[in-house]
Amino acid sequence: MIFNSLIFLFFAAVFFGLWPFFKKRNTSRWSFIVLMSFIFYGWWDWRFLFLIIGSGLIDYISALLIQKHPKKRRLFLVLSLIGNLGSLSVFKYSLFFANVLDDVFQLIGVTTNFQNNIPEFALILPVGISFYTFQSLSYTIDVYRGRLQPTKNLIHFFAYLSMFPQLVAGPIVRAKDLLKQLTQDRVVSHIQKWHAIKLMVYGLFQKVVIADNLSFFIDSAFEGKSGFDGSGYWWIVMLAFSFQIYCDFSGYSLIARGLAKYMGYHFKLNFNHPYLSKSLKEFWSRWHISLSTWFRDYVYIPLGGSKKGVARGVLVLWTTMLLSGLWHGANYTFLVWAGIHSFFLMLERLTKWNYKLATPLIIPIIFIQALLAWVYFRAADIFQGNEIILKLFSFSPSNFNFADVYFDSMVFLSLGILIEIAVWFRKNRTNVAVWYKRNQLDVIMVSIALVMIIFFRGEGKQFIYFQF
Amino acid sequence: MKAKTKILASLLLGIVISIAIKLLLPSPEQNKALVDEFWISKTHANNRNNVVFGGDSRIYRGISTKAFTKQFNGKITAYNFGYSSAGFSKDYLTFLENKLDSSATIKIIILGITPHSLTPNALLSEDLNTYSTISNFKKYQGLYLSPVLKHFSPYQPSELKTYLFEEKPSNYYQQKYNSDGWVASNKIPGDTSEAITSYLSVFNENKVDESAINGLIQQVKYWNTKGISVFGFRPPTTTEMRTIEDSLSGFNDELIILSFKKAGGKWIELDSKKFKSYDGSHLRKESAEELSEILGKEVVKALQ
Repeated sequence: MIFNSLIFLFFAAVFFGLWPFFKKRNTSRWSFIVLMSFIFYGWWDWRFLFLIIGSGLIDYISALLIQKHPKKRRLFLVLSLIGNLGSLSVFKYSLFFANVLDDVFQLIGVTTNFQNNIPEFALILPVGISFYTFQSLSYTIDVYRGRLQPTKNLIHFFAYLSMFPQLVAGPIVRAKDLLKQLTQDRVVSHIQKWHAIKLMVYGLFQKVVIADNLSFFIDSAFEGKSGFDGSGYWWIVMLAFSFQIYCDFSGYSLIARGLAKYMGYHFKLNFNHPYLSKSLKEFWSRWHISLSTWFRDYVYIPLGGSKKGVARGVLVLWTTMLLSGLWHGANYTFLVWAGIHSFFLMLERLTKWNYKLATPLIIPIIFIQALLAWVYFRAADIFQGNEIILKLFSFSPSNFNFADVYFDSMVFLSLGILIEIAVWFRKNRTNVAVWYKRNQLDVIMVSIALVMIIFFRGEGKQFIYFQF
Repeated sequence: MKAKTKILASLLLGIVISIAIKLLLPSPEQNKALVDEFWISKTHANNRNNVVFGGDSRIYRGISTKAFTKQFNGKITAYNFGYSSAGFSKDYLTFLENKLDSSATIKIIILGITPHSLTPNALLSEDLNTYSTISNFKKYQGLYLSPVLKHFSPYQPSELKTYLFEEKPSNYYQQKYNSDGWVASNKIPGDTSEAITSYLSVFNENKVDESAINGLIQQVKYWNTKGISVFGFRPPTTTEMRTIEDSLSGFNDELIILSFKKAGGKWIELDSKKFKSYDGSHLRKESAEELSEILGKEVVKALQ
């Protein structure tokens, strides 16, 4: 069930229709969340429910055992890690690891065929497995570190783990933030409802108007069906993909936050206009914030962060980024994507070049760095990625007729860019912000976004991040 | 402005803009909800009829049941159950029979038999299967929600650009989805050689199948025993297309007609030259209406 579908509209109507009755009592509130979230998730394939229940049970029990037997807490943490990362490895990385093994053996002259001997069930990627696995892991680690009291109630735990707005594509919510919120029947004020509606409308707008309307242009370029080529063409394709992936994922996060807010709960910001960043470090504090902070808290800082010298800091940076790349997908392309980010982050840390330039210059340069990395994120394999990078920098002549052929996509791309520019002005020019507020432009913007969702929506596509 | 007022104001403004759009702009060119409604209703609607038409795209684009029933003074009901590349498989023939009103005194099945409809590929009836096997949710969506959703079909900016700033293009492909299962079609300018290319290869390793003919004939016999009148005709097309089909498909007109008649079916002969095609395979809207009227007259005559 995806947010931009009719069935979800029906599901949400049922949920919010019944929510006021169930939320008043503790037991019914928790149970209702779990039941509806399982229906939401099971809609893809009910068999996936066993996985989320199994992986959740491991963490629920591990956390209780960590608290009960503090001397053996390391053992129970390891068990939880094995359970979670094990299921992630089986369902997400089997094929990748098998390919790697085959490649390694081939290097030493031995022919193996691991990739064709993987059990069929392991080739299925359950939706959102990376998200809920990381969320579940953070729970056990926080209990292990003594930062969180484990809940004794299984329903409470599953309400936290499976809460439908964030279940399949985040934000990755921490138990210490959400479990406490769920204990209360929170009264939702009109102002909160208005903010919730704004988040949902803007999120849907980003997804169905911008991201979905760009997909045809991008897909035909990467599948080689467009018949166009040349540097200019590929720069526009990558510009479009940068906005597609941003609007697709940010859109999902906004809808998730809006749904939670309408229920009375608060999910932290997950995207904060990352393409307006003045450094790549800042980019990572604005892009998929819940994942960045997860890696910061559970990988980067425990490994030493930047406090143990420059060389160690760089090593930890590369390790964290490469692991983040692997989290995104089981393919070498994601490692290259992460490698490019690591390289530019390292360069930025060592030279601090970005402090020497004016803002209007820095923002586009940072954006271009992100755009170049996106090439590998979107490419089918490294060879295609290399080919596109070469095209981008070959400065070969382009036939700009593609702007006519893909006129519709160009309109939506321009709209996406214009919105980000407008946001920059609103955030950086007080008079624009005051003018925006004084004229109640948010009311007009919500109305226009709503109309565009209805009359200018693209073909309903699945969210890109579901594959992770 | 208070938050509650903001919520109401944005909703109200959204409704006003939406109404303005519906009033000022023409319907979108691509209307997926309308197309879904058309095919899902055709496949899953519970209506039962006196007359059902079966065949491939030459039927669903070529038969207007409204024009057909004129000859019966509106006393009977008819529906066009043509599907893209449909073949006369056992499943499809049973499907057609199930769409007849079993309690009615007049029960007629009219089959438009093209060479392709008797080939192994056509017997797979992929188009019909696609719609037959959709999930219950999609079925209900097509039957009950699409009639509403079709009013909210999305526009493309290029459509608006054309509508607002440019002259209406002289080239267009018209497809009107009618509630009787007929897609009234036309193309301006027409090109009668357009379909020829694909038909030159469509019969490669896909000739008319003997067992398909036998199956059809057996079914005609069976229907006859059940009191169902069965009519057959070869949907008219261009002379060039007919020549290609006859030479490449292994279709033996005379033999099939003979068997069809022997099985109790009634064959309607048509003069292809009377009708006009827009792509070399399918009939233009006006010709489709003319053909339907002629078929109506022939059926009335045969029943008297």
